[in-house]
Amino acid sequence: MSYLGPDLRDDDFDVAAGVVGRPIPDTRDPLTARFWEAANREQLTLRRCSDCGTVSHPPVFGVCIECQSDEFVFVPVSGAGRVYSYAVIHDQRIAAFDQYVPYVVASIELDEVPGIFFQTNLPGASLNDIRFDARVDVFFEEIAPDVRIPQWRLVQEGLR
Amino acid sequence: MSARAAVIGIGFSKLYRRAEVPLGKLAVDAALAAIADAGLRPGDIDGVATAPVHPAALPQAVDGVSFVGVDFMIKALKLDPAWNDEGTFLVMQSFESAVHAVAAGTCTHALVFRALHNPSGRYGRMDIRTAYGPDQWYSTYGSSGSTAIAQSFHRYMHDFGGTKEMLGEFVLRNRRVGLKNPISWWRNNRPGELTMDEYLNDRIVSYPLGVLDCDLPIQGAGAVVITSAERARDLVAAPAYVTAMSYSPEFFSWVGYPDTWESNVEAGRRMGDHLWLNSGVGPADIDVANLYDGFSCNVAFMADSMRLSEPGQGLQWIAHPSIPLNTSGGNLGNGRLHGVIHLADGAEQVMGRAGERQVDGARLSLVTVGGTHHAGAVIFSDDPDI
Repeated sequence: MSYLGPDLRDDDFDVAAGVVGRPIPDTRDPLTARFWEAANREQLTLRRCSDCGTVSHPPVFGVCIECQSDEFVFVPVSGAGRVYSYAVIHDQRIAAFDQYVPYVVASIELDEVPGIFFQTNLPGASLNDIRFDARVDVFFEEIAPDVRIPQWRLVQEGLR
Repeated sequence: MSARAAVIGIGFSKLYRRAEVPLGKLAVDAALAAIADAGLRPGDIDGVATAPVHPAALPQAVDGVSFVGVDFMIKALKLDPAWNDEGTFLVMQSFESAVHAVAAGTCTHALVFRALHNPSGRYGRMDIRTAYGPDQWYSTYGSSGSTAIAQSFHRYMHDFGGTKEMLGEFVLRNRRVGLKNPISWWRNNRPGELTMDEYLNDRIVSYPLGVLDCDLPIQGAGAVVITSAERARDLVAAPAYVTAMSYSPEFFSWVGYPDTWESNVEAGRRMGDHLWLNSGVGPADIDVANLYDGFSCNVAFMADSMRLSEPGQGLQWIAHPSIPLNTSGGNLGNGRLHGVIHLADGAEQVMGRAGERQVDGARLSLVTVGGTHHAGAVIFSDDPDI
């Protein structure tokens, strides 16, 4: 189905280089600290229950929903995935993004653990390239000194 | 099982675009109108419930000004209630709570009201520096109030061949029907129908949602009075009996947050299936439905959840519904009153007093309030023993 809004220039999407003052994740949150430590080392991780092995994201729920254990490990996971969906934001709601409107917020699903989704801006993508189920892979964007967040980029098919 | 409670009175304040009149005054207007409509006096009210959540974060919350809680209403009407409830999430939960209070005999005449505040300034602006909890993975990426639902709905459209025109059919109809509702802000301030052209060229909020897919923030209040089924018969000619109710929690699977159409539909499906079981009737028995339309696309999900449509065909169904849909005009046709409008029309349909919006012979009326997570459903009927 066709997007009826004004089209986006390629440089509108250089959100990785552009957004100054993005909200910063609360890296002191004890439930999520290990995710962000790993992200700072450019590693994508998921929380796994030490007792039953159930994986979940985001790692903000205090107990495992399968076995109610509160012991977890954070394990590395492949960032390869697909675009589940995307929205194009024209509205100025979050101050740091005001000047980047319109911008994309996509939801991607990981290949390695289906049912796990992440939000991303798909930096570097032009709107014409974004498709449902497009292949993506993770990289890390430094948004503040020693604060890196996962982002996903479209993978160019057939270039490997 | 015979219905234990019924709606006997309904009232609204005038709806304003901004906080031109103090909210407390509007809440009292709505309450007094509902109480009079029930054939009662304020002193007869012995139970009060509301859910005074703000739509937007405010620097300073003042009861009677930026929100209206039970304490303000109790003082303003000089009540001595046996029971009150302000701990609920949305007006639907307050409504269900009041039905329980009446059914348990904790109070006799319960007032349920909802007052919405709309201060001047840009709606919903956020200057966030640090993201906490699950928001660490949302506002960090510029995801705000409408983003997740827009993503979910965009995928739903993709998977099932939905179009903006279908959504437009629904939005246009809501506005048109809202113009028949005496309380509608649109009717009283900008009484024109929308065209499909206007809808398709509308300013985008979070694609695929535009401004016209979002309800208009207003300042105003609505109220209903509930009593026991036995008492109802003594007071009014045609009560709206509460046949059955249900309420959904937030649904998310073992994997986490509810950003997909699948989880949106599943949340409502569970609520609906509890309702059908509680009521002993099914979707095919419903004569008229008011489904909450904070965003237009909420209704497509809810129609699917409630099995009014075939699976995946929620958008097709709201474009061409098989029963009258949102005869209230909904939030989109009236202004953002968080579900009181849907409850009111839902009750009025079986009371036979919906005027120009009346569905002839409506005996079973469905109302849902909320997206699909943290949503409530009620079936009203003209007979306590359906």
